Amino acid sequence: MATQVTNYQCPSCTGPLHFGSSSGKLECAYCGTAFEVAVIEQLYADKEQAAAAAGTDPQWDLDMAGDEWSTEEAAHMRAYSCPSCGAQLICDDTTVATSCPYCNNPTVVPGQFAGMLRPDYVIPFRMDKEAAKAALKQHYKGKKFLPKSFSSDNHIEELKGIYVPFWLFDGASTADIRYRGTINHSHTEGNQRVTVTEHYHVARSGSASFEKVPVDGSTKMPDAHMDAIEPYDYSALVPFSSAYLPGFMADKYDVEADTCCQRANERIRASTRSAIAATVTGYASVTPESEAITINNGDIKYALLPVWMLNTKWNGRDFLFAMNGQTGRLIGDLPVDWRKFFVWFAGISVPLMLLLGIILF
Amino acid sequence: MNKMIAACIALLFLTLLLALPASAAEFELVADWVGVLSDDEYWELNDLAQEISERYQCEISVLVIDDMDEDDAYEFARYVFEEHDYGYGKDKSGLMLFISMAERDCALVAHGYGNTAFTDHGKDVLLDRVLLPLLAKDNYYAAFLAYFSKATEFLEMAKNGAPFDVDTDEVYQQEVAKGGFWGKLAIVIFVPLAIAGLVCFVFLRQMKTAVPQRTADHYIPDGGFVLTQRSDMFLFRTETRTTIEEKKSGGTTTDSGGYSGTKRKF
Repeated sequence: MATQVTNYQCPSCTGPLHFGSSSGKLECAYCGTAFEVAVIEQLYADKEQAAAAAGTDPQWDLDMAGDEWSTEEAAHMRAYSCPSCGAQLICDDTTVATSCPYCNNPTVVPGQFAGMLRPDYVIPFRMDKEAAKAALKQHYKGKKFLPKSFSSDNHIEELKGIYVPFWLFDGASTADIRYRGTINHSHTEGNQRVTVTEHYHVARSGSASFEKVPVDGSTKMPDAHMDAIEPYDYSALVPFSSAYLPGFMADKYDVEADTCCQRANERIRASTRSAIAATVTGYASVTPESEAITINNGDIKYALLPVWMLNTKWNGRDFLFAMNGQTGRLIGDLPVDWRKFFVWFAGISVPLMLLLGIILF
Repeated sequence: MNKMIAACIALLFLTLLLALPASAAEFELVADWVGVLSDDEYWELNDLAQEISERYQCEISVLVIDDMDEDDAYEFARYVFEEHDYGYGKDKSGLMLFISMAERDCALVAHGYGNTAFTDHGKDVLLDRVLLPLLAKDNYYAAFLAYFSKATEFLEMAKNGAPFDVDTDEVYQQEVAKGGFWGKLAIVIFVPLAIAGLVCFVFLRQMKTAVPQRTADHYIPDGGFVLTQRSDMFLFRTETRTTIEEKKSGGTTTDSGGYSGTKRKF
């Protein structure tokens, strides 16, 4: 079950390299030297080529992996040896990049991509850990119903930078929608108000194209959180390289693209509907009568997008926050102090009642 | 106009039928051409009408006919009042209660001092509160008695310089005050609750930010949406009419002939 691991080492001092989200380069934590991603990629490609030629692939004794684990358990686990400190580590079968809990050495597990699609794109992290912590503090500000002890007592239990697998769907839609629209005119005749209502048959047809509608392909990531941190700036999409992974966690997809396309289609359908509806103007009321929306699916790309996941615990409850690792947009549900809610409600309504009572009576 | 001619003919026919001359002097103040009153009731009411009219110098009369051939009750009553010389003195002061049995229509017509003593609101009260409940039960004698009683009350008020109107009608004022009170109370309670609820709802929404995306608007490129057909076709037109409730301001509205009045069905 043990598998080959790769960690990028500094060509100068052999210290571990990690991807610097601010510099966009691979940085050495020990000597501080920074290297372009392409340079290290070329260096390691040359090394692998030389090793293959020399037939130096390590021979692991798979029989020694231990037989205490059931077949089902083993199917979802991967073991590897940290190349920096030698610790034997186990991770689940969807982890492609992680760090050693003993020496904090960032590690990419290339074997994890075996049998899976190689990502087409990656958006490198632009926000670092400190930015995530600052964003969480900012998230607490201005929340009137946040329990006072929540921001003071709770602490970040876990803070992880994760490359989350996303499927990016290209597609086009054509729509043919019919509405009933009404326009009202009013005038007075004597002591009567006369309202004339004109009824119209409104027909609209149109087409829309969509580029890279994202749907996360990881069951570990809550869909609502992943949706809410959108959008990403796709101008920063670069071809995938594992050199961007060191220093961060990375998951591989465990939900197939054809399963995710249903969510993409729902979003495309809803956007098409609203784009068409936005062209129906000038009516007092508009009621849809019939709708035909056809979606033509296009290319699907596989990308790793950067997300900071923050876990906090308060009063025995877990709270999960997610931050877009590129734009810094942070979301996450907060607990509600219902006592504060009712104080605010009464604080607004009672003085207003008194004021209106004085004015009107 | 045809209806007016028909009304004239009908009235002329009735007049001839009863062999009465077309002169006011020959009409009793209470003219029951149908026979809804007994003889005793008839003469008693006539005496009462005569007494009131003399005392206040304003003729209070009643005319009951069988059929007005679907004419407008107010227009018919006004025509009779004018053509048959109703009213007291030079300015023809008076108030006439007109009833047509076939249509079950009734109307009040006032002229001269009658316009002062019987305001629009006063005539409405006479019909709605005094006459209609009794007429609906075909209790004509009681209805006419109550009519004379209320008319006397209104004439007395007018004589004292404060005719019965919206500002002197205690029942109406209480209704207005009652309606106003509940309306204000509703505003005092519900408007602050709605405002507080809206503000708290906005604050509450800030607490929940992990929400799924329903659309993909961000992913439509510039020029990515094209409208290929746009058609707005007129189908038909409907019309609704609602009566505008006007707040009563009091007083009497008269037409060009100096008459005022109102009508109802009973």
